Amino acid sequence: MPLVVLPVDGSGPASKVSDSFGRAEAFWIYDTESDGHTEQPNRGLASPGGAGIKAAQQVVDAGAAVLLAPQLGENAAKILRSAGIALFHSRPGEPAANIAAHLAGELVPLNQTHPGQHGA
Amino acid sequence: MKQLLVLSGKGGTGKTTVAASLIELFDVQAFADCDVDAPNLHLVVGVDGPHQLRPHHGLPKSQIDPDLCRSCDHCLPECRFEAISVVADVYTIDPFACEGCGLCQELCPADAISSVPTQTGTLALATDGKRVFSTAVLAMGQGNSGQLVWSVKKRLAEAVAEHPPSLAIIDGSPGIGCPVMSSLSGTDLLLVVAEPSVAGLSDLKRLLDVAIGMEVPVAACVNKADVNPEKTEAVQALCDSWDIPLIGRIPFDPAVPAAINAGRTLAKDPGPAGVVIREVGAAIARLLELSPAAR
Amino acid sequence: MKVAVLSGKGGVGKTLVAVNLAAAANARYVDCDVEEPNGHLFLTPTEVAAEQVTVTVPVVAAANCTGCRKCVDFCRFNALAWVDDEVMVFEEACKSCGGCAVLCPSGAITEERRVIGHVHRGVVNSVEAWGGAIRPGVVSGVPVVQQVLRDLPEDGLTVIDGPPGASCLALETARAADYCLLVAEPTRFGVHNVAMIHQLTVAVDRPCGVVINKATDANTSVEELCAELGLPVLGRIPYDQQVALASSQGEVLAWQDEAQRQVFVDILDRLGAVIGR
Repeated sequence: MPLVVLPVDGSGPASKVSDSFGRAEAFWIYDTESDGHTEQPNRGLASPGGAGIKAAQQVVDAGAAVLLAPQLGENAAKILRSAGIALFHSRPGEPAANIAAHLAGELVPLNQTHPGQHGA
Repeated sequence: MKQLLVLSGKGGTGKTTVAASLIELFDVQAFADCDVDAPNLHLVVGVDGPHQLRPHHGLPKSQIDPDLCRSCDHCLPECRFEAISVVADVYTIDPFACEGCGLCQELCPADAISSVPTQTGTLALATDGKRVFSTAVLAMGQGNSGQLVWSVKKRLAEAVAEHPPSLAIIDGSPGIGCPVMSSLSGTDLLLVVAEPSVAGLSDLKRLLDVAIGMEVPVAACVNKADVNPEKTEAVQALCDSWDIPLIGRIPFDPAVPAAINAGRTLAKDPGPAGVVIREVGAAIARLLELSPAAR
Repeated sequence: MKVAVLSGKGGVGKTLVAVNLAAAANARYVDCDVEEPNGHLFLTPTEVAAEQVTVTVPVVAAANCTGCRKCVDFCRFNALAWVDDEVMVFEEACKSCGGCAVLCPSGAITEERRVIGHVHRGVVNSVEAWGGAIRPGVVSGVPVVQQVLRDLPEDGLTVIDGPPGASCLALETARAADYCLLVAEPTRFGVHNVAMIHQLTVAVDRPCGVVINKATDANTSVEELCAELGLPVLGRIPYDQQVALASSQGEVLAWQDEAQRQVFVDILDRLGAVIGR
């Protein structure tokens, strides 16, 4: 059951890829086998600090195989890589368009990470 | 909507003066003040209109219910923050010392300790029907946080979501800590206002390290450049070594404090500082590829 | 006598005033602006005694860990994660509450010390220069400020260069002092900020006075505010291109010439008068 996850703001058809991974409102979880998706509110959103760590834990626990995000903090990337999750650069806009681009092999791997926002 | 962020590293370099002038120069309809430790932007480019206030909460702190507490002393010795005290067998928690770790709640066998929300600041959003301004004020003795800065930017984005203007300007906080890093995310261009002094250079280097690490495009200007021409050249050399364009050398000009004191920006000021600030504006318009209508 | 030099906003001359008061009085200078310490650019002792500032962080013995995740679920600072069957520790998010070690049912968590900064002391031209600095990337400077302030002697005059703003660090500094000296610029920003920092000194119940930097005859807004709040104006440092240049080079004005020194001696005299000694 390979799952592709994106950080999003908004919900349902109004969802847009969030500028931030740790401070995204929710995670869009797409199942490549069923072609369906679920949405989970980001449990790290209310944390004054370590939001990226909390969000990464949630993505790992959801069983993601792939994460598409605009950027990632160092800490979140470390967790996601340790869990063997493949990381790709998302494009601004709708999650569905990003998933289509990913499945078509158009997205580039996310290798660079910023030093983290240390949102404390 | 393009986002221009104005930062300085060191405090007092003229960051807010430059940000306010650019807001007026471009007739910017969406702007925010993330310098919540010392918010000043509203003093020169305020928006008249109702302020929508919203409390901002940090980690909840612990509180002991005296009716449930059995004075068992399980909590007190484990609190690293020395927040728990006991007088005549009555246990209390000092909310200023409590960090909200929640250990005392885990240890209490009587379920006498609960979390209470802690307000660390107040978010404010003002609109006059045309322009939108987002900011926040910290509660006394509270620290700024990445979360608070994120909320200030988020409220601005939400308020203009239906009709986003071409440009938003964000006045950031000094230093290089978490609030600064939070303000950098989603930024299309960072304008650094540098000061030609030993202290200014030392802080500028630290800020550029962070911004370049986050892959944010950067431009710089020097304020009061003629006060120390030698240090201004050092700023130029530092910018050159990072491939950062130095887009203005703003001279010392008594018209600047005079304008600020009168509640005006330098956008239309005929003096030497005003002239350079308009050049800085023109360079920013080019770097952000703003359409002429937005200028 | 401990005097904290504070300012609502940065860059108004807080370090300039603190350094020169200490230099003019051969007093002790203490840099508590641990995030952007600049006092050492002016006062440069040749021999410095440094001491590390440490906090505790958890260490997990994987062999003893049962994977119950109790520690990860407990940590409200999100300093722990459970990935690939082991606990990952993120030291910079940790607030050293020690809860994970206390709560671990299998005793797999111990604590070790992590260096987050240092405090230092030295002497230059009869001025004792103290200070502290956090390591880059460290989120909270509070433990460093606490360590600097903890060991301050009571004898003689100590001038504390505070952090900018009215945050928790400024509060700690004001609380450690007997008197607060607020540095203000005569601008709309300056007046707004001195009013803000004044509230903080009221909150910690410390008497205070004001020094006006870059003073001009034309603008009396700070004086008006001081009259309104009942605060004494203890000095005016006029704007002077030479002062600005010397200061931007890291020079100590009070050591340059007698006239400059006198400006700060006068402030000290007025300070002595208002605190009654």
